[in-house]
Parts: sequence; C-alpha cells; structure tokens
Amino acid sequence: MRRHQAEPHTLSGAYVLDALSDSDRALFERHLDRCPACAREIAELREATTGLARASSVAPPPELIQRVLKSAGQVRQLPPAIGGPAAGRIGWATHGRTRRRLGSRTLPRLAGALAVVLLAVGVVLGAVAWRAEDEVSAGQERAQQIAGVLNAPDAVMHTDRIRTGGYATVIMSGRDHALVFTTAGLAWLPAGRCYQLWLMGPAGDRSAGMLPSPHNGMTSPVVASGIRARDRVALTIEPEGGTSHPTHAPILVMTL
Amino acid sequence: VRRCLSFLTPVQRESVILAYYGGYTFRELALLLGIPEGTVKTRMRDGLIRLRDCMGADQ
Repeated sequence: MRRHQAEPHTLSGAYVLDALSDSDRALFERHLDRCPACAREIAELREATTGLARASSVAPPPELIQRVLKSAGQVRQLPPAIGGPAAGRIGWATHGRTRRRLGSRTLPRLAGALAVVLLAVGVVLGAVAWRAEDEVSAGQERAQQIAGVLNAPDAVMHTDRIRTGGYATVIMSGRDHALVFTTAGLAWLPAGRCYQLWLMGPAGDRSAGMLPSPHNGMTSPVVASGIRARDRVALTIEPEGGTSHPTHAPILVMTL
Repeated sequence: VRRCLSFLTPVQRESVILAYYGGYTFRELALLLGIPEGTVKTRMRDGLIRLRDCMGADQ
C-alpha cells in the first residue's frame, strides 16, 4: 500500500509543471483524490509559483527560472487569472552567478539521447534507414541550437498572448542572431491549415517555418536563425505547407 | 526571491526549463538527458519545494 502510493506522490512537481502525459496525469489525479497530503503539496507548490509571479512584477529579477515558473502558473492551469497583459521581457543572464548552464558534459548526452529517440521514432514510422539518419543529425543540430540560445549570455525572454488563443514564448539571443519559439494553448485549426512563423522587419518578411502539431497543448521549440536588427516575430494561419509570404493578418506580433 | 532561486541546483533548473520550454514530459526528459525517470521527477519536485521553503521562511 505504502509502496503503491509512494510512486505517484513524487509526480507532484511534474504535475505542477504540467510535465505529465495524459495517462500519467489521469493516474496522478486519481491518486490525488485519495491523498490529502498530495493535494496539500500541490497547493503549496503552486503558492511558490504565485509568489514568484508577484515578486517579479515588483522588481523583475534577471533570472529565467522565475519567468518559467510564472508562465507555468499563468499559461497552463489558469489562463483567465492572469490580470493584465502577459507581455514581458526579462533577461536572465546578466548575473553570471545565477546563470543556468547545460554544460559541455550534458550537451553530448542530450544530443545522443535525442538521436536514440529519433531513431526509435523512425523505426516506429517505418522510415527507411537513410531518412532516419538525416533526422538524427537534424535532431542533434536542433538540440544544440536550442541549448545555444538558452545558454547565450544575452538571452532575453518575451511572452505574449496570441489573438486566437494561447501564448507564445520567445527566447532570443542577439549574439547568436537566433531565437527559440514555443507556444502553449494554441487554438485548434481545421484540416488544411497550420501556423506559420515569420520574421518581419526592414529586411522583409521571411518564413521561419511551420509550427509542429501541439503535444499536450504545447508546440515543441522552433529555432529561427538569421535574426536582423529591428526584426519582429509574427505568427499567421496559412494553408498547409506554408506560403512564401503571409497571406493573412498576423495573430501575433512580438517586438524583439 | 533571487536568493531563493540560487538554492535550486543547476540540474533542478535544467529539468524545469526543459520541461517547460521544450514541452517535454518527465519521461521524455529522462530519455533526452539519459537519466532515470525517477531522477527527473525528483528534480522537479525538489526544486519547487526548495523554492517554496525558502520563500516561506522569508515571509
């Protein structure tokens, strides 16, 4: 009995961060009904995230984690309780002491593990060997790009509401001329339509790629490189496959 | 608050950040990082508990 309960109990942190699959979440919520201690813990962990949101609205501290936790409270569970525009801009790396690092040890492991995942996916989908290899190397490159932007000393984060629903988060590095774009809670689109990301600025409108299908309500990170001065990030709804220029009014425009 | 955040270990922050921005579940993260699933769960939970305890003590 004790052993049976110990396992779901440890999911509380992942639950508050919404890092559970649907089936894991259902399992944990069933456990929650029978576990007052878990319910208390969830409430306490949420208090911590609320405290962070309050603190950072008074004096924005240069720490990404605060924004992460604040967004976790805002975007996932209680989108209507935000109280004001979610637009924000917080750099987190001005204090080297608190800067998060993936480190040289983690990166190869991350890329290697990602390769394993992509290989497994390739096998499941019945992809031919050469195709799987392509995907592995693309996956490794992408993982390194993401880690590079997250670890850039000048990285800043922006969060904004998308007109048709949901939130977009951009982590941008001027040094790398690159950004990482993710969303949560995007509105469902009918067949034949998809979300397309754009860089818009004096250099013209350039497609930054299509957003992948949401997983657990979130789209996995899209890396856009080649950012130029005074570029803005925009999102439009386009026909499947995308277009070379936006054909609809943007549902999101973020100034970098 | 910044002082409290410094009590999170780098690996705790890593798990939280990758879970959130990457949209990964803890199981996917365990695969990505090459560490046991239980370790990822623990890092997320311990990170948030540390934060809460530190903030509670400050009030």
